Amino acid sequence: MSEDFTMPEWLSSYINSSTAADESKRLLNTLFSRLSGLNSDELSFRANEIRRLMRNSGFADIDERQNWQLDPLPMLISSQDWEMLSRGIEQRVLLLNKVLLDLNTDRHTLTNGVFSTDHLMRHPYYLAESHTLSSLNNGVFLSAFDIAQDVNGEYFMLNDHCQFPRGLGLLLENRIVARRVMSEEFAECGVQRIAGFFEQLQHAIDQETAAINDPRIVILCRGPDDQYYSEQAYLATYMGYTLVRSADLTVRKGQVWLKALDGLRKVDVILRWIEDRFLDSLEQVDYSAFGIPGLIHAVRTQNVVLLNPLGNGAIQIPAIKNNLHRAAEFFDGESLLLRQQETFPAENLTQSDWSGYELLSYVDPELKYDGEKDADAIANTLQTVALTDLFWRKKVNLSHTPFWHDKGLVSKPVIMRCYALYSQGQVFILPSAMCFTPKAARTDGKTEIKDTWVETIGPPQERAPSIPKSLQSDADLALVEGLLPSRTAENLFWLGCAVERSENVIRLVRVFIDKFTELAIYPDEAHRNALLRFKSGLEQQALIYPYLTPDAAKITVNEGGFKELVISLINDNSFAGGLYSSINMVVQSALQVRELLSYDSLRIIESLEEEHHEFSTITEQTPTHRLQSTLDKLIGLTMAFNGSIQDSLSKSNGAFMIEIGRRLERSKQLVSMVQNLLQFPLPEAEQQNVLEIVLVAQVSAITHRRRYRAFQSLETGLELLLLDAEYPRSLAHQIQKITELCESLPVSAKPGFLSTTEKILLQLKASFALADRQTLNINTNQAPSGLVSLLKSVTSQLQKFSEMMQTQYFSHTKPASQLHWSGIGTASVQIVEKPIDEEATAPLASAPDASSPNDSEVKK
Amino acid sequence: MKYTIRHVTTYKYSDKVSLTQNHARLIPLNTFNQKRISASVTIVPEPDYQAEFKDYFDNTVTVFEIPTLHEEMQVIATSEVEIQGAPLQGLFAHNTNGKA
Repeated sequence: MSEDFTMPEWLSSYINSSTAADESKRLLNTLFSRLSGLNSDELSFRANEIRRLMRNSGFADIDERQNWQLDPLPMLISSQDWEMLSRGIEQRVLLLNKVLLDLNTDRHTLTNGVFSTDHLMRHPYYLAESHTLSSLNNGVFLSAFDIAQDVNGEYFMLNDHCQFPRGLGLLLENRIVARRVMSEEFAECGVQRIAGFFEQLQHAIDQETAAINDPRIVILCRGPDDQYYSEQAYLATYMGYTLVRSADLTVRKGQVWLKALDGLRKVDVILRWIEDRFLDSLEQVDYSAFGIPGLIHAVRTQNVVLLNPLGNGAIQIPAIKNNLHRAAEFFDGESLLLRQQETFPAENLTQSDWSGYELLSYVDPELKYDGEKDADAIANTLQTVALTDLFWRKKVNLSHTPFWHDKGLVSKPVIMRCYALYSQGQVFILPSAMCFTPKAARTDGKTEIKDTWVETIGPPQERAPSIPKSLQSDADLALVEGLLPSRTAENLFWLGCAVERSENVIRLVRVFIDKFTELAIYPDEAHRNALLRFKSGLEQQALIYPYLTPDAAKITVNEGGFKELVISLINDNSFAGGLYSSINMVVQSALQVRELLSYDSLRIIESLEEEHHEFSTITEQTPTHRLQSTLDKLIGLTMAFNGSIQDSLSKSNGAFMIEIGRRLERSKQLVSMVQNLLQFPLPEAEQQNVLEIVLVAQVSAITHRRRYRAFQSLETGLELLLLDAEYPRSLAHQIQKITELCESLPVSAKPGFLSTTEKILLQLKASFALADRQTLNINTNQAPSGLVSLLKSVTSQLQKFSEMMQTQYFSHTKPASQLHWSGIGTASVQIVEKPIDEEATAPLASAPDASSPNDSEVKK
Repeated sequence: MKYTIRHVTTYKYSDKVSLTQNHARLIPLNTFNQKRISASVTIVPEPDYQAEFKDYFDNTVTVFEIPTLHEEMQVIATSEVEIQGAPLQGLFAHNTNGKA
């Protein structure tokens, strides 16, 4: 590098600070010579850009935004350092693999005293059940290693993660963002690419299933509550695997099945993101809601491949970890290239030396005291706990690296997490790392992370393009694209309902604002009565979800409170169908299925969420025009979301589920509007006003005017809204669409017989087929009028349809409960429950859980 | 001395159960003074899947599943064992109580 570059102020002030002197000079210099051309505004701009991109990627959750912060400055690693680290990691992966295989077979390491059997077997993470698996199910696969450099420049191996590679998805996400923001620097530094590692990973997984045609691979995670959920979703999207939770999987007859919309589908490979002691709530001691009863037996009978294998958690046990240098000596006569922190027996340290050490336990994973801060606790522990169960570990004085804070650099300690893959006797190392600040150095509880750039060794290598596994001719192409777990299908359905609900309530509130502000200009009785009718429909939640039957006695005559009602429809969460609850439901259901949504769809969800946060600032003082503009913005967003879904979500990924949800909700809302405002005779002027409200709220006023010009009447309005199957907003059209969409639903009826779905839809269509404009005439003497009976029958059929969707397609396993039998075994039972329908008030027939298998349901 | 052992466990559930998955350790071990002549586990209602594996302690574990609706389940283990010599005394005696 050239020494004579002019240092910008932000850089020189950092270099002059004392801590910078301690750091690895060459690396810093390389980085700074690249970055010296930037001024601090430019860097701040990049930091903000990163924040924007991370949020927009849609994978940073509300909470995670606060937990992770990507630094604009990458960590640079020279090619020499990287070579040394790679050799150390490779040695370690091979060693760990030998240790794991030995522990589960001959146990030479235990019989030869390399590891203490007592400390190993008393540790709660030691899993006896992993011994009952064949050696095919053992060993290292994808692992992560926390490595840190101390102030003297020596690298230390701090932790091994052999259960699942925490942070791998985050690293991938960071790289994509960092490369975008720092594209020029990235190219200049000759940074090694990481995509090749993921191709290797995919290839290694394919190897596991080489014998299976069209294997089904899933990523098993805990669900959205896990702080790593977003990276799991990201990896699933990147690698094209189905993201599942425990409740989506079931073990029957020793095989693992995915509860898909069309029944059970066999699963061949599970990439687990759950600790191995929580995997099987039937066989394992620790009961966990994340467990899949019977999973270990399926692994044992080799009906499913579990990656990483069960039992890999043993590496974390101090009895093993502290003695890996002895294992290296035992197996290969080598010493470890990457040293670990030194450990000592508890009695070997006098109090005056405590400050540089931590006290830990061989058998209690929770016990950890810092010699400097926890002197009292240590003194107490040394008295009460057997000394042989305790040990001291030397702390590493971590080297620092600069982080960008506001307008200057701050020096912070950093740990690198490197990733390696072991497959077919070969070790592949990801040429990057996720750098993060350790707990003690966090500001406001945020973990600051950095992308790591590894200098290319020699000229960039041409990668041979990888050829995808060719599909055999008999492969079912429809299945290749992905499976739809029934939970996902349900979330998509509710997402559709929620989007439609939000759209409807926004339109209703908009019309309502228009109407009550007009009242001052047209204070006549027809206007006033129509408005009051509309108001009580909203107040009594007859026009919005849950579409209650209004209490006629409570129809308001009170003229005030218009704006109050608007405000509560927007931000009162006690209105189940109000804007607050509906938008919240959109955001929540979208996050549940985010792995299926495109980047653009997620951006819209992000904006909706921002608007949702703004609701709390809306009060009665907010001017009406501001309310209108918020509503306009929201409707724009919901329309954009609908469009982006139609544009990017494929049918096999469940677009039809969203659409069914939307159409069903639209039908219910339309029917409730007509039932509440139009199905009884009113004075003509008032009726005209009410009709206009309905038509405007249904975005049909213009069409109605253009089509019927001089002949507009209640009957023509109803004809347009209910009977015209060609008109996209009409009820008949919704029913027709639902019928078409339902063709994508799997059918279980015998050939030649109608399925429940078909029967309900046929009845719905039949009610329309016979209706004409005459049916819609409400001024007849007939009681009830044709319209009333038509709507009544439609409502009940729609309700039946909702219930059918719930019982037939969405009933998942209720969490199984574990019973212990007097010490001779364990059992997991599933109690039959009545399906819970959010909307059903009448008791439903107690149908057996659809997840209970019968042979016809089980398909390959 | 030969013994025939019949061990019956009956489960009554307050609600109907749609699926039950079980692990049972009901088959006697072969040890230095105990020889298993025969052993079987019968379950009512009939399971649609029944398999065995050896656990870490070398016990035979019976794995079974009943996927049909039921309110009661009965597990009947019948085995014949031959005990040679005197029963264990002393150090390990407390460990053998009732353990299959």
